[in-house]
Amino acid sequence: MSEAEDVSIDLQRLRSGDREAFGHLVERYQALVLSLGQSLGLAGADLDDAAAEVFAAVYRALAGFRGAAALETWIYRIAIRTLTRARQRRRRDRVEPLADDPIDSSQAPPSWRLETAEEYRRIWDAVAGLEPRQAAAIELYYRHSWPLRHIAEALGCPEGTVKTLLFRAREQLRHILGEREV
Amino acid sequence: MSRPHDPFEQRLSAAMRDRPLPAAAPDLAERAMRLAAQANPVEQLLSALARTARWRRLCNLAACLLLALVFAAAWNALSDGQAVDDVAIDLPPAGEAIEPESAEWADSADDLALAGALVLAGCGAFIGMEMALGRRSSYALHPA
Repeated sequence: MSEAEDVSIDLQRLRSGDREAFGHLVERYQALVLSLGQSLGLAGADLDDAAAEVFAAVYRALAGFRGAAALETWIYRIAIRTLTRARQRRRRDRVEPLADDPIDSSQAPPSWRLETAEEYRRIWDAVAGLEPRQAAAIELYYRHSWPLRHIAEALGCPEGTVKTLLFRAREQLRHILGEREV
Repeated sequence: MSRPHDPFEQRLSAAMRDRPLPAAAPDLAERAMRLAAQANPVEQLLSALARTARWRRLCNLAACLLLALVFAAAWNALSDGQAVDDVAIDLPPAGEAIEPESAEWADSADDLALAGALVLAGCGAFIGMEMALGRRSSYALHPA
């Protein structure tokens, strides 16, 4: 079954308020939403709350989704807005650093050395400090290997803008990290 | 996607690709549905209206008309209150006839200002409603 058919069946069931269908949708796209939240610097309970907000917004808007865009990119657009608001709220309300997100040694590749882990941590922190659209572009391009056209759809901008976002994000990351250290 | 050649990009790419995903809350779907049900009624209404272009246009039109009416009523009330002062100021010196042209000019200037204000109010209402509904419709309508 093609993705489009799969989506249309889900949508029919979702519009009728089918909880199971919504559960499947959440299960299928939660990794995408959580990884974006993570790249925006959210962690722990903040990330869980923000992810729930994203899917609540998706649930409310599903009745109006006509399937002209890929469900994935449509959900991503909602996620960017909702998670950005959550990040702003979090930064406004609290001043302490973000909850630590220790690297789970069971999930980390065995080739990782302590220095690698440290270096990765610094890169992730630097990405979390970027402007949300830049962080999203970095996330989609490098983490999920999405093509530029797909990223442009998700961010609601032309491909050229995505290239600019990526270029500026890389420049900023170089500046934050210091080239010699990375 | 072509693989990056720049060493910095390679490290960035590796760091992003190898980042472990956080575990999702087991009741994420349930929480989301509860949250959706608790949404603010105004928010729900605006989201519902934003879903169809026809309703959106009607809302914009209604907002423009309503604000224009309110503005016209307020303008009318204000002009009535100032009528006595206006007459006192505009009266010519004793013995001189009132020039009908200046009175007409004052009237048409008033009308012009009122029309301008109404147009501005209408534009403001349109932009306001468009901002309120537009953000929601980008969820509801086709995002691509």
